[in-house]
Amino acid sequence: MAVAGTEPGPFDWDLLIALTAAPFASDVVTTVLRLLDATLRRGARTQVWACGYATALTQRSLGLFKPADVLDLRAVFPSTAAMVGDLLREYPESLLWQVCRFCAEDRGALEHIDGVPIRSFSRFAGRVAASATTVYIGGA
Amino acid sequence: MTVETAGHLLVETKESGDAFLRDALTLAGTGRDVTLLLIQDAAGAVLRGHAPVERLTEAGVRVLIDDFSLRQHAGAVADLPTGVRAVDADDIAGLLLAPGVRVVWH
Repeated sequence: MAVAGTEPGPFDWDLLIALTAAPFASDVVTTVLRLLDATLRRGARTQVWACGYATALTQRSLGLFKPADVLDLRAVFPSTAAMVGDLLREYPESLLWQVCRFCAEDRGALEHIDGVPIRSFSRFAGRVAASATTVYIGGA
Repeated sequence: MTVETAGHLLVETKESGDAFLRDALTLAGTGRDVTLLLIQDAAGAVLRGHAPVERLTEAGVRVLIDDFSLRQHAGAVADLPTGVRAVDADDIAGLLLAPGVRVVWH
């Protein structure tokens, strides 16, 4: 039973994706990028909290492109940092990609592309509270 | 295709998610509205007949499969068992953005 005045919402964000664990152990990064694109196209406000090794996805050192494919040297693929950067530029008001400071410091991943803040984990609960739906993707 | 729901959305990503699929059955058995989305390697489980699709649909679970994952596993809609619907990223976004939805991602 809801108590008057304690009903959740309205929320600042429609969706929070907490992305954790090893990002390339599966197709999880592709999935998250697809979901970001699809939710933003629908006009949703979506934020990502990158934890664990997912903090490495937006490092400035990744550059714009993935390393060359030695089996197809003419092929060019964007880095994850470039893809997130493109989404941030396309949806500056409705996408937030933030990085967990604890995890980033632990991995020496403190230099990120423009528009990606590094946030204390103590702010995570606030991010959850500000979101209509939180989806935890990845695992410990 | 519109597939929005405001019940429980269970998302399986692994091929060996038997316990999680049993959770979907149990949840549906309590009368709750349950949608099971099979994505990433879980698509392979459906194509190889490892997922108990018939039991899930008989229990009232709506079983969906990500079309991108289906193609990545060299599958097609024609390969899917009866009761499984293919959805695209926009459909999945609709599921995640449905007001009140409860999402468990495995």
